[in-house]
Amino acid sequence: MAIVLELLSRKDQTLKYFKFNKPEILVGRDHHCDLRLEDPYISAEHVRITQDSQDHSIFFEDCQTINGTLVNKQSMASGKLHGNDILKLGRTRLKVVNTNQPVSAALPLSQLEESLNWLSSSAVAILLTLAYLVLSMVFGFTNSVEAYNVFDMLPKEMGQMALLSAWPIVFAVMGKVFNKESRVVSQFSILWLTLFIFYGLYLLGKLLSFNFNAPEALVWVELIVYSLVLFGFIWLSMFFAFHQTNKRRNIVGSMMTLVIVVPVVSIGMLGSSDFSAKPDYNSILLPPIYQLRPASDVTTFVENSRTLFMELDERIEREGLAEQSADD
Amino acid sequence: MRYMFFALALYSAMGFAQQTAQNLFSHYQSALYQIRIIELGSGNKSSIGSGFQINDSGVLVTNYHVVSEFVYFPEKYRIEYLAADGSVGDLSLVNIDVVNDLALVQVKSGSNSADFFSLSSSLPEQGSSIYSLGNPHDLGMIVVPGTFNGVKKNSFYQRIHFTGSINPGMSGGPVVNPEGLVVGVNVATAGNQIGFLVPLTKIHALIGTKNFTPLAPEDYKKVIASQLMVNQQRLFERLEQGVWKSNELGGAKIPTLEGALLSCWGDSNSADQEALYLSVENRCSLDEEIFLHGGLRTGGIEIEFEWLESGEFGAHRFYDFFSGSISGAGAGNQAGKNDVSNYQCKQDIVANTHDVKTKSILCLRAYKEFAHLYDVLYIGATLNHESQGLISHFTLAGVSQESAMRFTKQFVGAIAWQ
Repeated sequence: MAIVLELLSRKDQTLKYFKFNKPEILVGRDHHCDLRLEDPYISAEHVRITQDSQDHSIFFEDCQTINGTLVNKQSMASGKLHGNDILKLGRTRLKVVNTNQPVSAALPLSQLEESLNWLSSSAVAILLTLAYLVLSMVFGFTNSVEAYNVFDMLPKEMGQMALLSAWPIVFAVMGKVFNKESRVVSQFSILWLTLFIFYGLYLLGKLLSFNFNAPEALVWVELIVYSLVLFGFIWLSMFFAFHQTNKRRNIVGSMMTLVIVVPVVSIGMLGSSDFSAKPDYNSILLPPIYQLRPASDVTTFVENSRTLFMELDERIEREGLAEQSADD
Repeated sequence: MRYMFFALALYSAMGFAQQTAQNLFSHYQSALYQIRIIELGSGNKSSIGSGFQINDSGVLVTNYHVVSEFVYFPEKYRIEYLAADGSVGDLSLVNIDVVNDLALVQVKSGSNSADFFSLSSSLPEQGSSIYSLGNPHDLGMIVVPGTFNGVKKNSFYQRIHFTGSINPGMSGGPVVNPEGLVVGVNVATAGNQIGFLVPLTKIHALIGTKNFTPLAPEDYKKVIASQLMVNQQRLFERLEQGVWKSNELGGAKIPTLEGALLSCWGDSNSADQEALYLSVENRCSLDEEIFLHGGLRTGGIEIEFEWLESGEFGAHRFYDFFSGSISGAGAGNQAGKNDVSNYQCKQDIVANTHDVKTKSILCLRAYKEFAHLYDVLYIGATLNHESQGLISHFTLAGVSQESAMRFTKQFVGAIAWQ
């Protein structure tokens, strides 16, 4: 058996492993020590750690140092150490590793990782960034009523893109911290790809709602599809940033999707049942080439409005009854 | 001797005319009343108007809009009069005519004045002097001399055009000819000496039945509903019998009503040098609406067309702009949460027999207290061209299902290309 120690950072993250195949080691600042630590508050010979050859239990002994040794924040001169005990020498912290305990099982390598390799190519990311810039400029152009000047609009579009970049940058920083690898290129690639998908879905929604008279069900289908795409995007952002099990990623991803979608939907629904002097209708018009469906004739259109009159009458009657029973 | 008699008669007639303004008031003031709507909670007046007695049993004529608060909330208000001698008493509501803004009220206690106004049998000639009586801004009863200028043109809801100041508080007061006979009732002003009166015939029609038993409060809304229903039927008959002509607007032909029922205005942005598109508008509407209460008007019609075209925009940019132009349409009449439901809409792509393809959106809201009356809003945009199109739009307030459907069918069917 061996003595295994971990050097910890202030945030309890493992910085280094040390494994000694000896029954006794000396820790200190002196050059002949088995574990030499560069900490000015550590004495030349600071602590001696021994392992019992029979039961492999580990003991320590402070070498009468100036600053002493803390075990789990308590000053001790000597004693027995258990797995996960933390020794503090000067400002340095060492964790005793229980070598009897099995480590957690390996995470299965993801096939996805391999198939998404192309996203980490800088060329792809730059191409996607430029393509997104062009797309948003084209949208800005078709939305403009006044004379359109590309150079006036460029700063605005780029500003928006800079704002959007906050997401991949945050995930890249978290990746760097927790995973020692930022993968910032992949993060940017999936951001632009997701936005392309959103734009595509928006156009498809417009086409369907224009041609099929804006049925109410379409709004819900759109909401579900948008939420799924958003979930996929968050899932991938986490996939690149952290090593975690798929289950955990699914849970965290769903939570984050809900955190984004629920407020958006509830703000949209806010006041929808309030009284308004303006009707709520879909005003999308598309050029002749997108008109996929033959037109109805005037009589059919007008006759179909009968249901609208009936629905309103029924609703007024229902409300009248509800009011009456409230009065009683 | 015969000549002498004629001269005497002429003299006395002239003398009467000169003295009219001075004498009318003192002669008739005991038949004039201030009408007050008293809010029961505070015991104070919440609005005022004028009224005049028309028979010896204490029946007064006033405007519907003077007593509208009471009609809508009979449990929260009562009607009170203040007579010339300072006496005060309660009034009960006998009958209403919301379409012509008239109401009959009756003194509840028997102590009404013996004086009353008689109605003229005919309207005076244009240019004649007439005198409006009333109590403006609670300042006391006054006489306003003015000129009779005939029945207003371009109106479905008939009004006499009176050249003279009518001020708030004078509503419901009588307008008399020099003989002291009533020819109209003060109702509205357009400022600058332009006043409007409810014409004589409408008063005759309301009191014609001589049935002065007060309405039961629970019947007020039913009476309004049936009057609105009959009125919209008359209005749409007039519209359908009118001569509709096809007028050009941009590249389209739009239906416009000949004659004086609707008043129309036009506009365009052709003076705007920087605009990348051309917009030409044609808007027609009924000048008057029916007042039901402070937050509710009905009986109005608006018809609007806008031609849009652009040589600069491609199809995509034009249709994005076109979509923006048809969004946000709203009701033509004022109505609140307690009066009407929210709008519900239906839309479709519709082609008429002139090969005009439109995205047609029809929205309705129902009146909560008047069953089977609706406000209708239609907006349509043509889909035939790459970068030009016609927006057609109308709003109808307080109409029946049949009127609305017939009108919509006629309207959508009438649009054509040049």
